[in-house]
Amino acid sequence: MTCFEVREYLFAFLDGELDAPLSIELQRHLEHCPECAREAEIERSIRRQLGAALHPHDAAAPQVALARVMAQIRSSQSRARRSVWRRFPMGVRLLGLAAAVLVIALGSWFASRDAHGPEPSQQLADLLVADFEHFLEAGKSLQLNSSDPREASAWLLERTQVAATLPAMRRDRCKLVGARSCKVSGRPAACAFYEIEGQPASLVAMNGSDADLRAMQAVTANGRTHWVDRCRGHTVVACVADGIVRAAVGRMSEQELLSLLDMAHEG
Amino acid sequence: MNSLASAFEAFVAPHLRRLTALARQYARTPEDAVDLVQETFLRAWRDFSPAHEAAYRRAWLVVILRNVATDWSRAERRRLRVTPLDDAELTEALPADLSEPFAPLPAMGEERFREFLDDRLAAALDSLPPAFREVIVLSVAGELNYREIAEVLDCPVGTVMSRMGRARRALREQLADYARPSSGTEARRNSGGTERCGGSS
Repeated sequence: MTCFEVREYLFAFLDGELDAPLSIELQRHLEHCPECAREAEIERSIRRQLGAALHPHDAAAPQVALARVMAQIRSSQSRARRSVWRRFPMGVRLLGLAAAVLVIALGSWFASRDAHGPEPSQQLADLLVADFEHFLEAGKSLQLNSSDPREASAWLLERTQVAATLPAMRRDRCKLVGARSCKVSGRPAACAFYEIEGQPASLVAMNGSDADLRAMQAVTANGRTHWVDRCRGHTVVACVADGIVRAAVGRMSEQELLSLLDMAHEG
Repeated sequence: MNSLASAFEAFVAPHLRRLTALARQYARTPEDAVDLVQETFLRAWRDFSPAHEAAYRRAWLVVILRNVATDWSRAERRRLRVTPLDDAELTEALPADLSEPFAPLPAMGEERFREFLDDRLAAALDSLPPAFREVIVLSVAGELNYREIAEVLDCPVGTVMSRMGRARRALREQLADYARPSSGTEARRNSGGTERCGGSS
């Protein structure tokens, strides 16, 4: 390949759009032509800088935008449901109401047969996600801004009496942002907020047991059990150890959240 | 119904970062960018069906975002940057020979070059003809490949490849122009006249 041809194809090559034979030829030319290699390096620098310039750094703003849209969508769905209901004649609506009352009564009766039904843990996942959404919408309403896990753990222990043992970050792409104390189901909870590759996630610790997580899906791997639930686009992964329920919440994969939990478990 | 909303949310969430980056390039203010993303999601929601989720391609949301930007621009509701030139104008805008040597940049150390780019790259990108700017923005901010860009712009992949080559060359020429301290463009752009290439003034 000549320098003329390299100049013609260089941009497509750097964008990964050349087919394999042409790409190999061009790469070979760059290895032997310092002038073209310099041009390629300049273009790579421009690309790196462009990539940094065109991507916003504030991860929370788009999340808030999505939360607003979803609230609007869910609210319009409720309105749509109500307006569909109004299209029916009064007789049909009354009949429907009676049927609904019967269904609720039967449901309550069945639920009362099992005093330890799944509702509490379902509620727990909901509460954790609601707290996380509140954190996103409120623009990071933290009581402690700290990236030091030891400082944040000590602060949370003093406030909540829960040994959260926040993990020391062994990965550059995962960092602690801050912490706050709150109550979940009336119990003191220690909440820490992280950014994993720019995406927000929370780690919540509270006193509790397996019973708190019964309605979530139990997954056993390598002799250990964790629980998973999904709610309003968020994933909740939880585990129990030494009388403490730890839960990680975020939009990332179950595996990402589980590794955050594992780090917390290992302390 | 709520599970449909949840399925939609799970579908759009992974695209949030690049859509926002793209919206910021079409809009002139961060507020307009947020509105643009929100309207994009609302329009996407109208057509969304989990049964067809596998058929939605990465470019789908970008096509909607660009349509919203075009609509707003036409209605003059917002000042947006979607005014592509026609192909004839583009051909005249720059040299056709893509094998010509690149515009030379003066030798400078790696650190100094980074400072220079920090200083000048955004202005150089903004100075390009809109259609040239747009292919670069779709590739970098939208993280789309040539086939996906062709889908968004509704043109053949070959056109994208050629336009991208010209756009990158135009960007390089603009940077080379900025790097020449005595150039007319430099003098025009720095009307204050105190800023020097390298940005350390």
